Amino acid sequence: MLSVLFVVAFAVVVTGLGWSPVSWLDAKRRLSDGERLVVAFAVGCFVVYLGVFAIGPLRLDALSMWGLAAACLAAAVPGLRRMEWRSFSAALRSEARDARGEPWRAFLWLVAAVVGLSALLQGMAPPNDYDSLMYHLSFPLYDIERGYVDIAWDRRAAFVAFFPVLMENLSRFALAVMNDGVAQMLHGLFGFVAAAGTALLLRRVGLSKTVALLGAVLFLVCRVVIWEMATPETDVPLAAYAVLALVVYLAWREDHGVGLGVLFGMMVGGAILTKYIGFLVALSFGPLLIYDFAVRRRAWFRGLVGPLAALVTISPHLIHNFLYTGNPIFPLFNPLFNPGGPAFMTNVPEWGGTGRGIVDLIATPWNVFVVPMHYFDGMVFGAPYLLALAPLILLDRQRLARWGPPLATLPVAYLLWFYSLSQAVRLLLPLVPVLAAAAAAGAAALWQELRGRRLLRTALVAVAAVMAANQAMFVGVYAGIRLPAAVGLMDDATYHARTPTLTGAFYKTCTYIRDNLKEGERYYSNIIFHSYYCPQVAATYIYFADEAQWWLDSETPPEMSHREFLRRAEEADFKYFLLTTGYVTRRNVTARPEVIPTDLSRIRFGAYLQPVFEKLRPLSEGPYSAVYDGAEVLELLRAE
Amino acid sequence: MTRSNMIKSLPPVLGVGWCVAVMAAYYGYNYLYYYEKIAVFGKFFLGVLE
Repeated sequence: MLSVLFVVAFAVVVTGLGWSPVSWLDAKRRLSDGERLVVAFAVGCFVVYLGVFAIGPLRLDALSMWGLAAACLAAAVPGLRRMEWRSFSAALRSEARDARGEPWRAFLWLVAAVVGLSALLQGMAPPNDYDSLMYHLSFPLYDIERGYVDIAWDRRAAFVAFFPVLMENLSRFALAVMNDGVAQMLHGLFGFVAAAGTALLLRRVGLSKTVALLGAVLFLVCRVVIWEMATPETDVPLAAYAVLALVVYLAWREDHGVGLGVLFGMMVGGAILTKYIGFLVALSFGPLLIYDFAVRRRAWFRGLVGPLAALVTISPHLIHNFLYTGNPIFPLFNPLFNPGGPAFMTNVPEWGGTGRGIVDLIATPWNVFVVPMHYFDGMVFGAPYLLALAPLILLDRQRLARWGPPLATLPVAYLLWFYSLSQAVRLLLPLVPVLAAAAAAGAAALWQELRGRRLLRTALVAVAAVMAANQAMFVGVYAGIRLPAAVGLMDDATYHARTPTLTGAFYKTCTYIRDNLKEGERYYSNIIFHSYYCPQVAATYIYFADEAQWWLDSETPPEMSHREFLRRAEEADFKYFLLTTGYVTRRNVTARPEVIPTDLSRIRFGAYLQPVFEKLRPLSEGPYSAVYDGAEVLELLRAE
Repeated sequence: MTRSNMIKSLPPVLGVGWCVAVMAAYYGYNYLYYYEKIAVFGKFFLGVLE
């Protein structure tokens, strides 16, 4: 309960923090009250991000972060006092009155509230998703354990530590002052922001409040949104910043004033600070900017305001990376900035999809919705309602021209996703608010067109009912899995035992070590990723401290002889050895889990350790990992 | 029905037809997924209820 109250307080305080700058930048009141509120929230989050960015390298603990919280609260007071509470409450009362007289609207409010709140509260369940256990949460926890923010040099895919950290800094803040449930729920708040952004986009295009609400619901019920809202994954926050950038741009293009240009740039900057794929959001505005400033011949220097504001917004990140690596956007395009240095993620574009030909380019929008299990990263959207409904905006001929600017952002983003990224479908999430908005408008347009055609309306209702039942199943399943653990009806161990995740959370073995490792003791780990549930600082993860930065300058890992490994292991006096025993993959048409045993010979020191582990019984064993007694391992290593 | 009426009625018919086609293709290609998952979800919920 305290966690939920904290999250609500966080939302209020950061909105207060953002309210004053937003009001100042939107002096001509081009933004509606609703737009100001969500943009203020998004701006306010920068303050927490920058606070952790500035204070964290010196000190990261409860005291320093509560200090930051107190400073934020004090700084939010003027904004909170300036907010138009009477106007907000009048708008809420009016909306409640309207909904009472319009059952469909009331139903949509109910669905939005149930789906949104359920997803938010599910954030209190123990973290269980791959990326968060691997870095979104484990890197912040590493920093909390050592008491300051630094790069997790020795972790698997440690270059991820140089990715933008707006959301990770919110997690650092949450872990220091509260818990991982709060970290997850803070990410969940961005689901509400993105849904609100979708609705506000529809209002900007001129649709009714009911259609706007439908758009918000269509965003919220995407399978990936339901799933990610309760995790510290960053795609939903990226979608939130992307749609807010679009909403602010639409307001900005009314007169291209400097203030809203700055706000637009800040939202684009927020998208980039959420994850590098935000660059795709930034470039997606290219056609609009070119049209507005070259074709419509607006003052060109005003067109630079947004990009410059975005650059300033992301500059702390760029400077940080440049100081550490010489590459402001490390690890992207690394050989360009560090000639002869290693290239990272070079195999990414070959990972998914049907191919990169022109036929694939045309067919992929169909394929990502209709055959997601065959070529992509699984069931990302669920029922293909976005594909079915979004093209129907063509029926709304009156408003078609007004859809031009929002839709103009899609082609560049799609092309970049198609050619430069892995074609993981979840990375399309920044485009989903626009697609959900178009789907809602398309559904409304078709419904209007079907006036007086009972048979066709019945057919449309039947299609909608099937897809709604499909998405309700996903909503229900995630709620059924996570809510019992979130509200304390299920203990963490049972939750992890029953809930599958990619490769497993290593909960049992990590918890064994956490419970038994004493102050000052160390252990060795080579599990496929070093889980959030393991002690972080006490681990030697595959590489010893003095060699942990090898990947920064080389593509070839350092070698170490059996003798040297034994010497170092004895010196470290490892209490435990945590070993990977396999992993699970669900990359198949039915998403059925397939367990693949680990080939230890392909892992560093595996050739030395395999004969040892074959002679020992583990102290603790989980689905894909095992803990061995350090003294026994060292004794057998000496005898090898 | 006149020719102009027919043309006028075509977009909504195409709209509904498109929705039906997308849905049919989706379930046609993914029936194995739902066949597997509905059984897994069913067992899960029965386990929770027990």
